Amino acid sequence: MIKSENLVYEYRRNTADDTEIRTRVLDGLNIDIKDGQFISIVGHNGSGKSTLARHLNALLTPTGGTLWVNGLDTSDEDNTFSIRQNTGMVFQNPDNQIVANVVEEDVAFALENTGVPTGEIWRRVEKSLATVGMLKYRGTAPNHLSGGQKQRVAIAGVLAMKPKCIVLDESTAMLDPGGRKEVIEAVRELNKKENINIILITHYMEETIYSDRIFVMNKGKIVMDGTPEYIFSDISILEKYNLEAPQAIYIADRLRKAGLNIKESVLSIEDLVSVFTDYKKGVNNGDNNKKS
Amino acid sequence: MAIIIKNLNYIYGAGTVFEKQSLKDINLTIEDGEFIGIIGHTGSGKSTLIQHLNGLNVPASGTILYNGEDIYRKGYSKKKLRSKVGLVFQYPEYQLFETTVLNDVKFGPKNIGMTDEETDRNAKEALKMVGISENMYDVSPLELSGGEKRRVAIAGVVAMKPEVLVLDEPTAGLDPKGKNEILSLIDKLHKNNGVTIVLVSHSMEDVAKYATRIVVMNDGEIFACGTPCEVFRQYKELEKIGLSAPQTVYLLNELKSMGYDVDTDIINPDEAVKEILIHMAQQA
Amino acid sequence: MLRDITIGQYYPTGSVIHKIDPRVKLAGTFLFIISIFIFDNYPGYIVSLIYLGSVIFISKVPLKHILKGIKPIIFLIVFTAVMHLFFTSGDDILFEFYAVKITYTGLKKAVFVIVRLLFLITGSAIMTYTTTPNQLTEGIEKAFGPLNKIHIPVHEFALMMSLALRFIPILMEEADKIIKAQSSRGADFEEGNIFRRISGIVSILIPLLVSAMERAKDLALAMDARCYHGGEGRTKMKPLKYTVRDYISYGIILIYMVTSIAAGHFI
Repeated sequence: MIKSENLVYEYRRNTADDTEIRTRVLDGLNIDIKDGQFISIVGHNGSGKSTLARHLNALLTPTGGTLWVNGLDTSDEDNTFSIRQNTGMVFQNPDNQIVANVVEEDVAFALENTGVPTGEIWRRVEKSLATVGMLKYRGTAPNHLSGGQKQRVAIAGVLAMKPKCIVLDESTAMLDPGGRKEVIEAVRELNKKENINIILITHYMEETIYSDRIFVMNKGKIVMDGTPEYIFSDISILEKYNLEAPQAIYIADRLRKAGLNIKESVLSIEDLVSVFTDYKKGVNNGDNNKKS
Repeated sequence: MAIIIKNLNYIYGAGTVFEKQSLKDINLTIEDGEFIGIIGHTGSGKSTLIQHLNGLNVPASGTILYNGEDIYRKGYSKKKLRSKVGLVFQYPEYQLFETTVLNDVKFGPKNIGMTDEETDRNAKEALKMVGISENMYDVSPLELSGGEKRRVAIAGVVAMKPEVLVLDEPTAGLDPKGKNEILSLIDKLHKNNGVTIVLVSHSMEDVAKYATRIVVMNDGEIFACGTPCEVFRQYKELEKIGLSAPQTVYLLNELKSMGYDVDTDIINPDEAVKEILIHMAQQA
Repeated sequence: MLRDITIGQYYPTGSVIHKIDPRVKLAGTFLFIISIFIFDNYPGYIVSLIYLGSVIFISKVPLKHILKGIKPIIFLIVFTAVMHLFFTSGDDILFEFYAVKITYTGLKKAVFVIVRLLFLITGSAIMTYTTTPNQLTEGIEKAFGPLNKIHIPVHEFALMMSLALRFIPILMEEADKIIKAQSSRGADFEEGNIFRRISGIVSILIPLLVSAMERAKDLALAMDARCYHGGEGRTKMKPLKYTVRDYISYGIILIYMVTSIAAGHFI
């Protein structure tokens, strides 16, 4: 469970002539995320989404307001390690977050840090690698893996801590389409089967259609918050925030605006095709499906 | 007749345990003024192929002709070739090294022997083109945002006034806005400046939108080659090698199989919308 | 080109040597190196050769692979030998031509220097072929562990080593890429005047440095996120533990030291 009250984050920088510049990256956020939800956060670069992600893991702490992760105030240093075990982070660059030279040893890293006994480390490493489908690569050097596989190793490394929540901070940005799919499928599984909270920060809108909720961020604020159906019901608002919808949703939106009766729940080509299947039936039955 | 690739074979790590033939008998002609999109998944040989175009990679056999001349001929000036065939690497922002933005962009033109005057003019022109304003000329490249760095890096190659511009996944890792800025910049170079473009991309949608011809690579070979609609007609074959056509293509093909008589050669979503609306109007 | 260097890269075969505790291998290599420098006559080297040969044989690392690894440094070995050959003074002249004098002592020294260097390199290479960098760092961490008591951060050094090993191939690949990118911008590394060449080299070094710093920053953040807080209270997934095999190996090393020194001194 993640909750914030008027969360503010500012960073200060002194210019050459010693005047202080304050930049407000997060501007009074009030969020409330329940356990087991799949949340996507979208927004263009500089909208504050990565800064928010880093707060969830106490890598950054608020300069104003309060953030509670699992009931623990992130500003209290005594809570830091407990929060980090609870909320795991997977970062953007697959290479720059793998510490060890062998896959299984990397997955063990957090467990070694937190003093988990050796036997238990082995059990958890094995289970985590199996969950993300990387068990057969346990003895491999990370340099020999594809980008998607490296990110799955990173997920396993987080999973081994038995977290309640996993934050993916643009973890798919540097991957090819195949790698992106691997990662998204892995986290969807975790969300469904292990009931782990997933917070997916991404530029790829097509990855967000499976989420329970989408946050759209702009200039440090959450400007839209709702189900994918709601967020994609009018893509002109998204375009205003420099975001683009997947083609299927774009086409659905255009057709809807041209007067066709297309449900707002259309998020994929399959959905769109089924609308036309219904149409066909409707036409054959002599109904008039058009909006009046 | 800009670039002719003839029976090109390339062996990666020749003589080591990692030896692998990463290009197999590639034949391809890139005409002046074309916009070629190269598609294929990681490891299919796209990057290896384009690194031959300016002579960085040396093939095991076969050759490349640039304007009729063999670029691997002894005595052929690689430097001159590189001034004609500009290559923008993946994540090019990592090549920025000068103290100021302007100096960095001048690096290429200076190296290929342009006069100071030409260098200055071309560098400023290139920066203007990529949308970097004058007040940023003296800023350190390290202080720029990710998207700006990327554009400065591209300007560094554009300033060399290449006839052919080859770009390896220039939009990787950017947000939608940054991505569109880069793509429309490339499109502008193609349409307004007549630069031949070779664009390597993972995004079918992007390639479909801009390319006049698409080359699909798989396992070191050219799997398919043709206009976007010719290539996307084979969307089922593309799936077999782990690629997919733009969503629009799937939609129209599905509609067709349901009995709607739509034109399945359409790949642009806006045109698809028009086409569907026409058919729905006729049916109603 | 940077990838061609294979010496010292782990070569898995699953042999007994691979399974020996890294501390034993470290000690063995160290003592082996000492041994080849304390004697300089043939019997001692023959004993060394027998042991080294047996270790290579048991390790199942193909001799061809080892020789290939040595190839890039052959020049260095030959150069050192030639230096000894020509610049050793002595009375037992074998050959004289104007200022060039080759003595019997010089020849002997040249041969020994070749043998020593070959043994030294092969001996340490066989350790790195059979020990993963990780095991090696752990061996060092554990072997030097007692230094912790006098406030030398052994764990941190070991971690640094292991991270360096992890990132060396990545940075090499990156260097390769940057070289290609700057060549595409017409950079000179080999031709042109000195200023051109310096600017060419700078155009590689700075990006490489910037990228390494960026990676270091990312890595530090990722380690923080995974609760890293130094060596205190850390447990191990693979703690080092001696087995019977390791004690036997220590025994063999001891026997080797005694026999080789005996052979070197008394025969």
